[in-house]
Amino acid sequence: MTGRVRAASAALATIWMGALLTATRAAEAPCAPPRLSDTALYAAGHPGLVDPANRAFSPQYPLWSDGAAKARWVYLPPGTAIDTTDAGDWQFPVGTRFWKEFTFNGRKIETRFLWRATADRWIFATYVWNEEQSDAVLAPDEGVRGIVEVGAGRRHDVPGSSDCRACHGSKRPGPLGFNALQLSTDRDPHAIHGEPLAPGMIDLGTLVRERKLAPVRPELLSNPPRIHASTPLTRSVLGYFAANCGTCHNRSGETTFTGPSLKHSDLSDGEATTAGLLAYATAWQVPGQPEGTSRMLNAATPDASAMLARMRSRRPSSQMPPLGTVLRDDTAIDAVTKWLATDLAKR
Amino acid sequence: MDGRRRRDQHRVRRPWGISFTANLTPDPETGLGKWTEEMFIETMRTGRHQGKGRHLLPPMPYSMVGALEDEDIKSLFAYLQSLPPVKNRVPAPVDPPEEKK
Repeated sequence: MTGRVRAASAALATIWMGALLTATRAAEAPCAPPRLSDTALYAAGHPGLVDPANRAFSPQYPLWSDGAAKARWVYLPPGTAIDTTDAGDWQFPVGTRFWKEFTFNGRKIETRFLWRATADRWIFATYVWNEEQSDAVLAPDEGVRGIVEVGAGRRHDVPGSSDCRACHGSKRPGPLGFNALQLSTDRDPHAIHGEPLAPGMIDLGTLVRERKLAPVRPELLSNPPRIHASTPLTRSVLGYFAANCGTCHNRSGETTFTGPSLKHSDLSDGEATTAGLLAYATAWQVPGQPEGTSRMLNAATPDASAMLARMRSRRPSSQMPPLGTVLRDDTAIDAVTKWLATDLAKR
Repeated sequence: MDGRRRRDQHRVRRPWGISFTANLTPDPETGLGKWTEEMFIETMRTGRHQGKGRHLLPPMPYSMVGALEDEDIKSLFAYLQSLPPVKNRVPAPVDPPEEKK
């Protein structure tokens, strides 16, 4: 064999090995399973029965989802812990899985699945339930439009992957309702749409006792996270904002928002946050209000409150939150209206 | 040109309401001055304001721009950031009248 032929053979072998390696890696790359029953939510051999390794939980301030009844579970691999070094940005161990099941009018419609498959990859998937309610299949990448009617002329959309990314982040992705405030043992009895903590559900106490947080944080039990506010209504409204607004309206740098942060980890001093909301002039002008009078909250002129105006809207160009809901949350609107007219009007 | 005439020239009135041409200059208060390259890419990819907010309105062809490679979108952003900043607060989109039910 001449030197040239040897060199060519070696080059071909290198290319072939490279192609093989690439193909192998592609085959090994984790992806969302085709059916919900393949995601390890249910116990092996017991379809519909949630595996006891997957722990139910309930954030104290639920996200508004057009009145859906929701059930949530988390799986943390044995021997692992959540890195809570940054209180506002918990880092979950590889292998962590979250599920959230949405039920409308007594029927399961979709189950969302978040899986930290590798150190640098979260998988977001949504499964759409079948007619028999026996299993759910992976939704297409673009989601499913108008899958079920949730109000007069309003239909619920199963989110596409870009919608998943819009909320759950592309920079530091992860779950939104699983943090110290949401799981606090000092649970707000007046939380808007608050759900009872059912037997067996885990909370912050469970995570501390089971050493699922690293570093160990005993102060989270002795002094559980709470929105400190002068009235119960202020506390519950700010909690609602944490769940429904704080994902974007914070100082993470993922948006250009410069107002008071509504992120769960920034709300300890509820009075300071409230003062900030009252003072903050919004670029978005409330329709019908004189230019320059719009504030996040305006106690003197409640109708010039941008937050209230955008909560009332379900027009795509102005509604808040901008995605994930097609129905106004009238309970929350009433609470904010009352808050402006009572607690805030006295300031 | 006064503000009103400028607005009239840069608005599109269609069934979705009225959308106004955005201020794409790097003015920090009224344009893209506070935007990051990442926000711009996410906006083009998702069709949502800053990648997270409301849907971009027609006639913005974000689906075409969003199909470009990252490097090309970064180049667009770099060009826009190289423009002289212009202070011009563009009105928020105007919704169409509510449908009667």
